[in-house]
Amino acid sequence: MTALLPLLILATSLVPAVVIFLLPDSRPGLRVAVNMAGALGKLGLVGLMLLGVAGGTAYDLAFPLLPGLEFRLKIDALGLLFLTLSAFLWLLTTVYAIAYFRGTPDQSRFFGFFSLCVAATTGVALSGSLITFFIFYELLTLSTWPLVAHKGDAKSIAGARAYLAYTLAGSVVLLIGIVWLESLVGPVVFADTELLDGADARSLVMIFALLVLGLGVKAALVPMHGWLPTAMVAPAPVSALLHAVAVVKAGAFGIVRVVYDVYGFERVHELGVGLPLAVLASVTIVWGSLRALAQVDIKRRLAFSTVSQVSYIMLGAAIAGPAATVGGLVHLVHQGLMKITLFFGAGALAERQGITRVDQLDGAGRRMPLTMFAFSIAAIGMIGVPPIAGFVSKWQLGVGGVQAGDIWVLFVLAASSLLNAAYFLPLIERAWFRPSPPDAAAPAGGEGPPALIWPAVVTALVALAAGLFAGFAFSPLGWASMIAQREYGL
Amino acid sequence: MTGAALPLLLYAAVAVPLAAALMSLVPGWRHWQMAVLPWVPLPALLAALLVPEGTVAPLPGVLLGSGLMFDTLARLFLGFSAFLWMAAGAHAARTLADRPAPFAGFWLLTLSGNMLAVLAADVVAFYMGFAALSLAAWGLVIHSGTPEARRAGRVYIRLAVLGESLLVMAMMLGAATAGSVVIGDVSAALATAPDRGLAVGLLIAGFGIKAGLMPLHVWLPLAHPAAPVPASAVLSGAIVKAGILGLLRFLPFDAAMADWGAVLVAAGFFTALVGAILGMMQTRPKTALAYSTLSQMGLVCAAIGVGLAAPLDAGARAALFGAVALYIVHHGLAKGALFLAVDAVPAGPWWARAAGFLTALAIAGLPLTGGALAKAVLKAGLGSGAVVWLATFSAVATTILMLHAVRLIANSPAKGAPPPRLPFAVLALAAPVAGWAVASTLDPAAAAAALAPAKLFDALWPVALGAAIWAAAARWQWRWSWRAPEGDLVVAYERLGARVAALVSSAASVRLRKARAGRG
Repeated sequence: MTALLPLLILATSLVPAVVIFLLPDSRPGLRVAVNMAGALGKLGLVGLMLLGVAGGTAYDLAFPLLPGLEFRLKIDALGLLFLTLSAFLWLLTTVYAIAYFRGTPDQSRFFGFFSLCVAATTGVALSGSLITFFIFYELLTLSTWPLVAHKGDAKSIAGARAYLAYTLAGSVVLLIGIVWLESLVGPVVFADTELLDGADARSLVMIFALLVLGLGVKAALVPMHGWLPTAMVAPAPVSALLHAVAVVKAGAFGIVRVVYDVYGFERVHELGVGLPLAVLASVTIVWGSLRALAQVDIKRRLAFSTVSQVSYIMLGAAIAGPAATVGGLVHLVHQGLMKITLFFGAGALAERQGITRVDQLDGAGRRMPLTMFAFSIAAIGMIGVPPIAGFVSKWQLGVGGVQAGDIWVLFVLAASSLLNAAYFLPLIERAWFRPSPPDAAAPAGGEGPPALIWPAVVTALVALAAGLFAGFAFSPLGWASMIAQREYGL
Repeated sequence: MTGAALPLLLYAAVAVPLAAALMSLVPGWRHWQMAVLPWVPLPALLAALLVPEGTVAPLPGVLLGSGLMFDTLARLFLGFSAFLWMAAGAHAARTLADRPAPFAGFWLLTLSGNMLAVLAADVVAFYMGFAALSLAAWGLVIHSGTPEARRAGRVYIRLAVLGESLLVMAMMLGAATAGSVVIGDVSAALATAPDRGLAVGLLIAGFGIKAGLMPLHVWLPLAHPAAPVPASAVLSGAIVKAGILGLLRFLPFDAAMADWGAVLVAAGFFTALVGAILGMMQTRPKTALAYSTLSQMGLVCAAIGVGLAAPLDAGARAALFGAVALYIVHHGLAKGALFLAVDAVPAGPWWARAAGFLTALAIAGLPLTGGALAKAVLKAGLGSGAVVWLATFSAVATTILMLHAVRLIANSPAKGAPPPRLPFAVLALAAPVAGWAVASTLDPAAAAAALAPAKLFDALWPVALGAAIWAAAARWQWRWSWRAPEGDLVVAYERLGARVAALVSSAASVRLRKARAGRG
């Protein structure tokens, strides 16, 4: 049973995907049931796995695909962190998406690819080797493309095409890097960093660059981030998933895997590739925030904010301080929670009040108080005000930077906080402190169906709790510290 | 109350305002919100009076391992702040009852932040309290919704966020060097850290924004007239003081930092003198009072700067903290009283006018008042030399300014409904009483010495000179040939900010246009 647990967890998304594809659009009840069963089942199995890993069980499953090519599923603490985040957020996004798409056509197609997307993300988290990781990474691209194009109008198709162009180009670069590396050292299994001992430094540096650039497309590193704002044409649940847990996080997660589990912490700094990665991440952090300032469309502003915030994870991976490692890892979770809240809120505002631009937000706090409350908490967390989770990640990154002797990290973080305040605080001010425009009225029938409003409130409160109770061992911070200590001896 | 239950008072001091703030989110609670305001700080006041020093109230697992602590500084700051919040809350409950939301929520959040910042044992809790009191006060400043309030709010929030960023940098630096988040450890580590110059500079800038140190002071003269009267009282009386508390808690007084010490002394005296002169140019009472606050805080910062420049041992450090705390306690209560006087004095009974004048003169340093005592103790801490003359000069200027401010208050037109006068009276009475009480317990010898005739004359002549100059100006109708606009430098900053923003956005769009042209 324990050996099959990784496969079972994959199955909880794959099986619903297949079933939903076969369901006609006219069976919404059955579709909802299958969706929820899959989401809850996954969460339950992940819980089982958490207990197992805490007790010291190791899950490792390998079988050959082709001669010399092995498919390996493995669960370690880092993968489990990503897996738990995606399972929890998938459940909430499923609830939200069911309410959001009520009454619209092509729902079976949507939920089918939705489940496939989550299956791919799960596979990314569970991958035990670089090749397995690549397989699921590609599956992620292919399953998210129809989600971006879901609405079917010209803008969506164009956005999806841009998305595909960027991500496939990134995949080519990634594949070249992987093939080159494996031709040098043989099949690369995660956490076996001694495998790379034999290879020469020059090749390793160039392979690192290829891997980071390839993964950096999904992770929205500058200048490969262009697909993200364009992909905002997708419906809100897709944006929420893409930004918080699936695509962008998978890219960041991949870079974290490369740094810690392929190259290893010490080798990255021996080869001197840590500093360029840190600089690239810092440039992305500042540039993303600057572009966010210029945006008038709320979702585009949030998109550039994602570009900026996800780079904190790469910054943490690139800096040689133990606290920075913890900060980067924990930001995987914190940013996911806060960003998904913002997108849930933006989607609810658009659906119920037709609010898509910043200047339409006046007085929204009175008309949709719960949504704006959750939105405000997440926005303040992004700025880095305690006790919301974003502060904890920033603090760890700053302390780690000082520990490593990189004082400039403090300035990058401060600049980022100031810019975040510059583009989030006006939204809060408009929503709460300005009167509604005369033609705007509260939505008929209350703020919205509970399934549309409450997921945002739940994730906002979890983000608040993750920061407020960060000192506990079972908080995301505690978990990230445990990973850093146990896996990397930091 | 048993000894074991006393730490609960510390938790309650923070938790009760916070719980009340959360309750204000509940729609049905609206009409209770304002009535509750005066009573919410009561646990904090009881804590200040009853809890023994050295008590710790840990909060394991919260934030990065947090807790509350209680030392002399915490007791003094907690005591006067709680009392001021109660009196101002009573005033607010009467005057702002018609538009409670969301004022009450922001008030309570600011209050809980203030309590947390005073009691915090670790850097993260302190920062959280400081952030709460800075950011929630924004809601108080823009409450009235007028264009003036919006502009004041804009300037306020920008400086507040800038201050937060500078402070978090300093604290991350300190915590990383110390390897711990306990405030005492961080301050000790900063004394020997290689980056201490950077850290101290960031601390002075960050806390200086809050304390109104020039040239970062521009939010003060705008926020005070814009906010409602009780909000101005707590802004000047308690929130600004959090900046001073931060300087006392974090600056590494063990180390000799001659350069940053000199900067602080220079900035402090500059603020004290120029602030007083700018205040004398004002025509609105609340703006004049605002300039007087930042002028007084400038004097305090100068004293702290003198302490920073040379290494202090435990005794000297305790003396400096005592002097500053005494000054702050008196000023907080007295300034709070004067802001409430803006409502309570016009068209009021004779005793209100008299109390106003006496309180103003007490801040200026009239002999036998608590203010004189505080000034004397502070002056003693300044040592000798040029700084003492600067302090004396500032005393003259302060007298003129305070008399000018109180005259503006007394001459303002009466408000519509009769205002509450009891909170004002209580605060005006509490200021000298608290001043003498604190002085007698902290340093009885100095308190007794201040009553000596020579010392009395020392305190009297600057005040008399200032009063004479003011009386002459009033009698012969002296007028300023040029008045600074309210907020003085803020006009320059706003123009600079607009230019930078235009530059940044045009650079971003130019790059985009080039990129699009390249691709297309």
